[in-house]
Amino acid sequence: MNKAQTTGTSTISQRNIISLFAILLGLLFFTSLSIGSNPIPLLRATAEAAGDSPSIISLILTEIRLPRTLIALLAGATLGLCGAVMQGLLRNPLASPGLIGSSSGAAFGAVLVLYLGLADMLQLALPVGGMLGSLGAMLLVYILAGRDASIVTLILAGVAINTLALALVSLILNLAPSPYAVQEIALWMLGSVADKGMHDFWLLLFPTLIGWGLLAGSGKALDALTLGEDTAHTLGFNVPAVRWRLFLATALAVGAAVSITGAIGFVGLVTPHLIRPLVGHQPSRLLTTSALGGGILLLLADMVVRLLPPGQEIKVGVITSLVGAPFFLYLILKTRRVQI
Amino acid sequence: MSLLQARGITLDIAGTSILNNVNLTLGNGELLGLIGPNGAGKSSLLRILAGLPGNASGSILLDGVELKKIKMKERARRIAYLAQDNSVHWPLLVERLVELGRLPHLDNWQQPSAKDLEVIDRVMQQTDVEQLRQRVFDTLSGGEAMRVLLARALAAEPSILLADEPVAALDPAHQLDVMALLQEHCDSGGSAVVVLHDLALASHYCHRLQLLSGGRTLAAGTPNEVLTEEILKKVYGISLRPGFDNPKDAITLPWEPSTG
Repeated sequence: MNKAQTTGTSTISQRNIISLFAILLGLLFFTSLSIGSNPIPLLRATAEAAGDSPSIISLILTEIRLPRTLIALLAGATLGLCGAVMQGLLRNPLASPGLIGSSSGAAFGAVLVLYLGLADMLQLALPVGGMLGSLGAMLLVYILAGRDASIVTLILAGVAINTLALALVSLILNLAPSPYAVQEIALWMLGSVADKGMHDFWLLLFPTLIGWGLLAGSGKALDALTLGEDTAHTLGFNVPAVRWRLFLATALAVGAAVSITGAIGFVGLVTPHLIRPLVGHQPSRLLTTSALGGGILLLLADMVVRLLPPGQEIKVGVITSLVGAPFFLYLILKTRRVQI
Repeated sequence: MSLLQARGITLDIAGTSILNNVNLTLGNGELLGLIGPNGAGKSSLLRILAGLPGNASGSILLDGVELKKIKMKERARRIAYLAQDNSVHWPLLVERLVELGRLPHLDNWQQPSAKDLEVIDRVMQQTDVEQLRQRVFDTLSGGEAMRVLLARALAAEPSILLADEPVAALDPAHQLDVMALLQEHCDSGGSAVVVLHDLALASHYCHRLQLLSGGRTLAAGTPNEVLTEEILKKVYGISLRPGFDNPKDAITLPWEPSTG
């Protein structure tokens, strides 16, 4: 056979990619614990944290670095995974976890909580507000689009709900009682994993695990959807049921992530794109890899933020968008060149 | 007993009648051609036979059992459907694409077994796409792509194959290839319903034809019974030219794939 005809990518085996990513993520996890404005020796800090009178470095480790690292890992993994799921489900490489309104719905819910001043009274208020906003937005998309909606109807419904949620966020900013409140809301919206405690991590963990659980095992259905919804149905998959299960899962997991970290852009969109060529473009092989990849990207971005010169700390959401947007442009140009 | 039997299929979409009390039977080893003008309801009927969701009334029996009562996976193992829209949304390798045809045989977490891979090899041989294994689907020609999609459908080892205009975009040689593959499927114990516009192919390859027009069955039977001058004039508004009396006429009729 003519060699030029063989355009098949020699894909590294799926298991090797997952192992590689997992090792990388592990290394980044420990690096993330030890670096920052004050580098800390991990072993000593861990030993001291276990002792009776915790030292300063052990407090930095357990109260600041550990929650921050865990939250970045969890939120990044959710964004990568949900981005891969949405792109597979809607068969659209431009789909992102926010497409069905979950991010902006969560932002609205959380901002409303901040505006009402509930966040200071009750720690739970912010994440709960975010998740309710996310689920509410998804529910509205569901009602607007209908059970057997076409993909175009779904995307349009998502755009409408996103616009509405962001308009409501603007309204709240507009009505905010003081410049301080405006600043608090605006900074929250930039997206950050800094200044979080272990209680934030626990709040994030449970809805995230439920969301991931609902997404687990959806790979084969997403593979079948490569051939279109009709063919997927005749291959034995109940497409509307699959679709709404995945929407619910995304609303839960992304809603939880956004309500803890604020909106962190481009991780959900870019991660699956980076990984797709490595796994032969197959949706099922993209799930675990994109989850690991999203965790890696967000951890990296957060470490960059910490290593920048001290002063006004740049929010990690700003970094991901600043790096993500040009990178996405580059991807589009590359795709265009291939198509020509 | 017939393998697949549809009774009184009626479908209205937004007040427009698409199908009106259509019956259809498919026997073992039979290649049934669905023909008729555009908008006659052929594709709609095929979708209903495939068990796709919709609000059609009437009943479909598979081996005497109501189709709706058969589990989706079980149905997917027995009926394969080749849609008219044959786009593949991600640039998959051909072998991965054909592997998707085994999904009805796999549980959610199950990897393809040696037996699955054996079936995949066999159908790729049968459809002559083995040499395309490592190619990306997007880079295939129309004829190659259709053979690969046919391999995907056959990979489920279905007893019934439903194909919606599988030869519409192909050149004559590839049309014959695909029809020969459908014929082979039926000769080896399977059955197929195929939607066709090419009456010559329909007449040549199908055991029986069913002609739909305006959502009703206008004629059904052997090609000779259905493709009469009177019926074709009524349905398509065309006249026939019997035979080839002048050898100089530039009219050709693709007939069979050349061997070797």
